[in-house]
Amino acid sequence: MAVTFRIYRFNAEKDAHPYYQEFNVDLPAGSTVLDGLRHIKDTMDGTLSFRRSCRHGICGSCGMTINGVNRLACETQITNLRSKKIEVEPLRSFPVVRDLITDMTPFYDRYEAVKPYLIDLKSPPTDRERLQSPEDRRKLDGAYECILCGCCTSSCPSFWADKDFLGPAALLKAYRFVFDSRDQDMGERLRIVNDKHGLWRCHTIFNCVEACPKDLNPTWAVAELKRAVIRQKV
Amino acid sequence: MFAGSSNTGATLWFFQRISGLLLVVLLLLHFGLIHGTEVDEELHRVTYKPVAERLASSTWKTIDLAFLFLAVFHGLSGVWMVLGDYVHRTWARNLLFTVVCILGFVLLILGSVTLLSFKPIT
Ligand code: FES
Repeated sequence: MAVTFRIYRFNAEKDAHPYYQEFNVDLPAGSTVLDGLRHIKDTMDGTLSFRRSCRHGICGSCGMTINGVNRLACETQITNLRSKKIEVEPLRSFPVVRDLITDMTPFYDRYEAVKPYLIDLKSPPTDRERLQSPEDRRKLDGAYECILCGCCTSSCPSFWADKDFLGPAALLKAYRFVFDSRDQDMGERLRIVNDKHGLWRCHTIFNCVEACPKDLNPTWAVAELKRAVIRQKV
Repeated sequence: MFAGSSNTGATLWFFQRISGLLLVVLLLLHFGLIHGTEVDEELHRVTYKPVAERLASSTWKTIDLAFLFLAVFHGLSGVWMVLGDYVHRTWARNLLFTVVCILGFVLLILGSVTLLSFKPIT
């Protein structure tokens, strides 16, 4: 399978400006974009930099923009791109450290801001786990599976425009705890997201839904959070 | 760094939805009348008489005033939301907010004067 990779290159220590470099490669059938990148790094240019770890869509480290769409390189089959030319760029709107590696600090800062952990105001039970009914547990389906790849937040025009916006990933995480029957500080959680850089910057553009490699729906979660805030007020 | 507490947006968002819903009802009514019942059967277009008769009644003046207020609020609150996406400096936001409010006020005054002072020519 002969394809051409057109890859965004930038080394802050050497380059004044980013540029694109092309690599013609011949890969076995069934190769993913990550396989292609590894082939280039191993056999053609060892300086090419990108993140990857699990190669199975679990760790979320290989999120990048492939032919204009944010995806996981390890889950993207080259044949499914239906193109002999594959353009690979770092995730938009995050500062580029080198080549396809971005500085994810803004992403994690927002994640941390929504307190992504269970808040237990009373002392936890000592003789058993914090139990939850199957119905309550089901409410978290579609909210806990996020792998923090950043594909959604990077695809969000509201995040491009407002760098203080929490972004879809953090808001989805907020949803996951607001609607967790075991969590005891819904008020504080809603106070955090009820902000001009929080829920109300989401204009239901749905880019995050399209971008999510795990088929999650942050836009729906944001709508539920908006409803919860309004219900609390009226 | 995001702190979460400025608590702005919820009220505006809520009234944007409510005004949107009411505007759908009023718009349907408006289209039904202007492009339906008030169309002259022979001329196939809306004529002065039925519209003027309707606008002379205080009930319709009230409905149209509500239409005006809702449309101005909905439109300008939308503009303010778009500006909110792109303008982040406090002084610029304050300035633009004042401009949007003045614009809304002028539009409301102009619309209200036109509506309330309307008397049909007989
Ligand atoms: S390498 Fe882990 S998600 Fe792609």
